[in-house]
Amino acid sequence: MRLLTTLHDMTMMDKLAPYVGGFVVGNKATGTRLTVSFSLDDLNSIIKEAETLEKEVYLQANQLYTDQGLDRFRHDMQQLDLARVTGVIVTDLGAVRVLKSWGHAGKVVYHPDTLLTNSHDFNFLNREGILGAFVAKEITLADIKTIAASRQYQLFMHGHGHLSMFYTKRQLVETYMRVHGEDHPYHDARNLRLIEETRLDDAMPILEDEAGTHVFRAHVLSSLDVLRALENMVDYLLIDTIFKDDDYARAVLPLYHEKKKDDAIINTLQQTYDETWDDGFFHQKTIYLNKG
Amino acid sequence: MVELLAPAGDLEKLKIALLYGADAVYVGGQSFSLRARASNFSLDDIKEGVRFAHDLGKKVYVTTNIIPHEEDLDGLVPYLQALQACEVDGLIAASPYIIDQAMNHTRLEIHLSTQQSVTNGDTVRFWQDRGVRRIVLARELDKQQIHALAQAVDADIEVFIHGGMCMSYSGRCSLSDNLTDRDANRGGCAHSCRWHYAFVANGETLFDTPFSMSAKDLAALHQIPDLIDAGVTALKIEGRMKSIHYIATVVSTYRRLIDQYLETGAIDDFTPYVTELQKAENRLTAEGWLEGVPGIEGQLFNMRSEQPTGTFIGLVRSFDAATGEAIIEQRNHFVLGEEIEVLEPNGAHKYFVLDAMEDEDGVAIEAARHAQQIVRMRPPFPLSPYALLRRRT
Repeated sequence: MRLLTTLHDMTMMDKLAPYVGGFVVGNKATGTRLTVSFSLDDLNSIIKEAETLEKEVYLQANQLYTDQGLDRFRHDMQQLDLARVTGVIVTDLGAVRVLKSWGHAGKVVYHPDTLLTNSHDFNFLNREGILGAFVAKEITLADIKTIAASRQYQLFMHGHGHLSMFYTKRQLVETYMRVHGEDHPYHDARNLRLIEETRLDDAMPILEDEAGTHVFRAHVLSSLDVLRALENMVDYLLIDTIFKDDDYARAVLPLYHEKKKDDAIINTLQQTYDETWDDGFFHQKTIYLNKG
Repeated sequence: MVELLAPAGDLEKLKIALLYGADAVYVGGQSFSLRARASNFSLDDIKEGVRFAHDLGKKVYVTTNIIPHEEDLDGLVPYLQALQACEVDGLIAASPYIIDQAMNHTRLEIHLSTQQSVTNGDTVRFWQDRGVRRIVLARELDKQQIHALAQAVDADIEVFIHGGMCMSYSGRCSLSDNLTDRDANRGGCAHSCRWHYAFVANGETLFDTPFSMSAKDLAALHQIPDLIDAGVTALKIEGRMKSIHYIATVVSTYRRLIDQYLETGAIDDFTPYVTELQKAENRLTAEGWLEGVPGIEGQLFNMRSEQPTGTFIGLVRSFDAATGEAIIEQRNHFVLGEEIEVLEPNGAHKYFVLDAMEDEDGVAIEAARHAQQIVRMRPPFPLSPYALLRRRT
């Protein structure tokens, strides 16, 4: 199992490199929920630096595109040194089609957020010759094991971080400020939270970017407790440091790299970053209403 | 000819939708369908519904649109084959596996659910290449984008024109999963987007008005001419859990508007259609994405509901032309002396003052007080079975 991490500052790549197999980076014109939007020039520099460091690099191009958006995807991808990119993480099947038409099907990492919840659907792009796909975040460890057992390409999953649970194309923060007649200084702000009226201890990050508005889980997913089990199922485990920084990555990544559940470090991290870790849906099956 | 497609939560709603002008209905079976609480069609019900529809020259599609977990897939192929045996006209599905199994084991026409969030021509072609006949587009496209897309692809294109809107891309939301453990993609959506949230910046709540992610319902009356001109195949109404009054009113309204546009090439005055819709609409509406990115006008911040301007009081069960007697099933309390509006399945409106009525045993009564009470009355004109009676306001 290889670790991947998102990145805030390209000068930190060499500091993070010892702990990971690769980096996930993107630009706001084609990607969403990014730690930071790197310019196309910076992305090419990152691609080059990753090669120097002998690390993989994945482009996070995970918007759902209109026809115009897909034209922008084509344009921007052609500005990048795709031959040296390990993979392109896409949510839109139109983007899969584009990459395949360029002979890059083998770089596609399909990430449709919530949709890959069983082994058949996980493998449904097998005919396309893609590199891999992200399993849904909302399934159990047992479900992941079943999918992994019959996987026909690389299995990616989110292993750590604030997980997105809502993606609208609307600019909801802007609308909320406008309804109050206020200026809107909060686009792409990382300090916004939603607190549901009966869950006062759970502050859920909300982010408005170019692609829309996203709401994230209040708790940070940690897979340290199940890391040994995941090793045999998962090919790539993503440590997403959105809403944090590269120092956070430098503290968290060694735990995963060394498979060490160090409670002292974990407690310090949770206090420092004012966050609570949990294990998501690994042991919690969601309810299917038709089955009561 | 563009298809008007309506929801049906049960057999009665199916019949109402078709009689009031839908060209096709979509229903949920007891397996593999979202809207679990609305999905009460047994295979026998589906068979009866299909027979009813086909007798009218109309169609029935069945939703098998869950995003299944591994254990949910047992019995899939026999179920799909049973639907084929019921002679349904197509399946609406989101899971690639369900789609593939339907193609491998049946001859059913496949419609791709909006849960797959298709927003561009290349994605349409992707699914078409896999054998999908019709694509239900994501709601996040404006009418120019829909026009361009519909003209550029060979697949049939279906768009939503009325009803509830997910604020998120459909199928990509796990608020309900995370806040209630109920899987939105398996029929359990708790509508957590419509709850109230404090909006906090830098640790401080900004406003007293709660933040909400609730969208106004879609009402696309004014866009129908453009959507027809765009060449879309089907116009879809959402709402398998809505009442028969809502279904009849909404379907009838769009039916008349579509027919007027197809016959005359223009709609000079939308007012009668807007007024008619308001008789059954209980949520604020907007035009969704059809006119571009929705702003304040497309959103609810205080969970406001609207009162329909019409009250549904009774459903015509039968009419005896020889005696002029109508048998009515009560749906809301009504009394003698009230002015009543009749909505006929063909969209016609009639009015009368109720001056006498009897209970099921022929005893004169002054009020119909009981839910589903059978009432006899003699209106001054014939009534059609399934006509609706409203209290006129």
